[in-house]
Amino acid sequence: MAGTQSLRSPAVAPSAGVASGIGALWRVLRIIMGYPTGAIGLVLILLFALMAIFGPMLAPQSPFEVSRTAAGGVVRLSPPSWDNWLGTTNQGLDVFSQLLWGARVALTVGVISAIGSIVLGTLIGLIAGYFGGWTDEVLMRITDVAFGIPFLPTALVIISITGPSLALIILLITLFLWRTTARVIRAQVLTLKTRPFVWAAKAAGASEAKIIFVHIAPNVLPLSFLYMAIGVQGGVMLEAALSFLGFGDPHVMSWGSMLNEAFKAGAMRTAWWWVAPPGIALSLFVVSVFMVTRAYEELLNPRLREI
Amino acid sequence: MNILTDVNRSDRAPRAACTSPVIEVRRLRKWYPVRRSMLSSLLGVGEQRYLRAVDDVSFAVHPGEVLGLAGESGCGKSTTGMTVLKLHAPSGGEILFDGADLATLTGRGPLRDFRRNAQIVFQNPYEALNPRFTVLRSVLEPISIHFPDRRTEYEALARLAMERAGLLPAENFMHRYPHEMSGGQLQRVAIARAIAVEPRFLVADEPVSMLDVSIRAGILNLLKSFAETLNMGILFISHDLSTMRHICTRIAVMYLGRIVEIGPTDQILDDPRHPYSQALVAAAPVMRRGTRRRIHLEGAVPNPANLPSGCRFHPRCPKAIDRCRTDDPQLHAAGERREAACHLVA
Repeated sequence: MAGTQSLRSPAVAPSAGVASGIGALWRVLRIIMGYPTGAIGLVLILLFALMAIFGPMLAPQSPFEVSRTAAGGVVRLSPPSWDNWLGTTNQGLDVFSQLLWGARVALTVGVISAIGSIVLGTLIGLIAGYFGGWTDEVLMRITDVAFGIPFLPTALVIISITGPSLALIILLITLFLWRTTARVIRAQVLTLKTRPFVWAAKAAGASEAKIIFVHIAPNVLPLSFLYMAIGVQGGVMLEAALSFLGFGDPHVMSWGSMLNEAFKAGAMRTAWWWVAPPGIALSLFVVSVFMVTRAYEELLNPRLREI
Repeated sequence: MNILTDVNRSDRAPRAACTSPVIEVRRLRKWYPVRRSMLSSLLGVGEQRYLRAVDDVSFAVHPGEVLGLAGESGCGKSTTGMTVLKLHAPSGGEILFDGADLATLTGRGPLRDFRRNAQIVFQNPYEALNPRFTVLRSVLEPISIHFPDRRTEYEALARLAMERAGLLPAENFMHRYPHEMSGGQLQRVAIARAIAVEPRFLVADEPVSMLDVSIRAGILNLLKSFAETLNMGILFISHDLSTMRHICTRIAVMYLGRIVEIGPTDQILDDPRHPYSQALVAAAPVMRRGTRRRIHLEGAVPNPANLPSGCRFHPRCPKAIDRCRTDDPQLHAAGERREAACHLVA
């Protein structure tokens, strides 16, 4: 019955939220599992998560460890074999190991930058929407500017000045992703703040901080979580893009930097075992996140189902 | 249901007359600036216009009294209620709580004291409660804010408020969420929250207009009993004159942000003096056989951002004279304990 209840009004349905803890989260997951695409997406995401957590332990070798033959020679550009399940790179590095390690980098960047961006975006949206006036004006103009900044050129310039590192990449992606969340949350707050229960809290003498964080925030959180899921996907893609362009952290091996290595080696057309795994992993991850967010979005906004 | 007192019309004694008002507003204003084009506001040309939602409204509510605020949609009744509680910042005028002007009271203490003593019940019970709060949490909110040092009594205070609001037994409702309750029950929860800190003044903004007819009387009797037993002053906002006859001690009729007539309930409803009150009373359905004179008002309500000159009712007034077009009538005595704002009413 949680399902039918939560469909009544978007974003404020009591059972659609995560505010009331694990039980609510479980209910949401169960509803998403009810959609075929949602179920497939969730299973895939779970596999990627397991890969990120346990992958490096299962990997036969380090991503920077050169494979050698018994005679001591480097195994260069070997197609998949019993020793190297997904073949080797032009420097004799094991592609399968790189793929497993890459999942950890991708999900770390995706999850941290998504959390950072929704915290930032939700806070800015809450403050702008609730206080209105000049506060709103200033914050929304900043958001407009953020919308005008192209990610790749800006990120490339900053990384080339400061030097690449994973922390910097996460920070840049966070600063790029918050803007949509801020806009959406602000719009939601604008409708929530004139609801009688907010007036009643004010009449009861509740402080503004309490009204924002106790009365309004829990009612916009389901939307924030939607944007977090979308942000994970965006973060993974942006990190891959930076790495592919050679601006990734050289100390870690991500799916993007695997593609970059393959490209630099001129192996894009020849070594399919080198190019396909990171490419497929990226696409599959993006698709699985999309399938889950789509199901979750329908949960929040039942009108989508009619289209 | 022992808390609900029966409706007893003869018991509408004008007890309020001798006590000092719990709340009084003088020339209260809420004007909203009408947005000008960017160019004219930059150049400073053109005049800033205002939508006069509440325009120089004055009234007093005494302990134990239910003052009705009547009028059609958009006349500023609800804005008045919100502004009196300082939920909207007034654009002008004074709000006196216990004789002290709220604007001159500085610091958190006095405003806190006012918040404790002035509460509100809204029209739509489905929107009045946070959907993520249990009933108990909603009712506890004002208690925890105003009685922070009585933590051990919290639940007892909440239970008392719920029982006073007719939610019996309180245990059956405490742990429910709003979506598990009916409109009438939700309105009782909203009332319980409002009276939990025993306010001395309550704004009831159309509290029964969204409820089933069958449960309206219960809610009205409840509010009436608060005025009588808890000596609460109530500002009862409604467009429905028949419910006002049921509950109000006095009635103020509003038109376009102004009070046009104010006086004891029976006198206003049985012998309205202002032409607008007459039209409003004539428009209300009555359960009585026979014909009755209806007054049809011509035209629509003018835009409150662009008010007519003189009396703001004159374009629609069936009795308008030349003076009405130029002179804006003020409220003046029109009989014992009543006032009207009309040139034709002496």
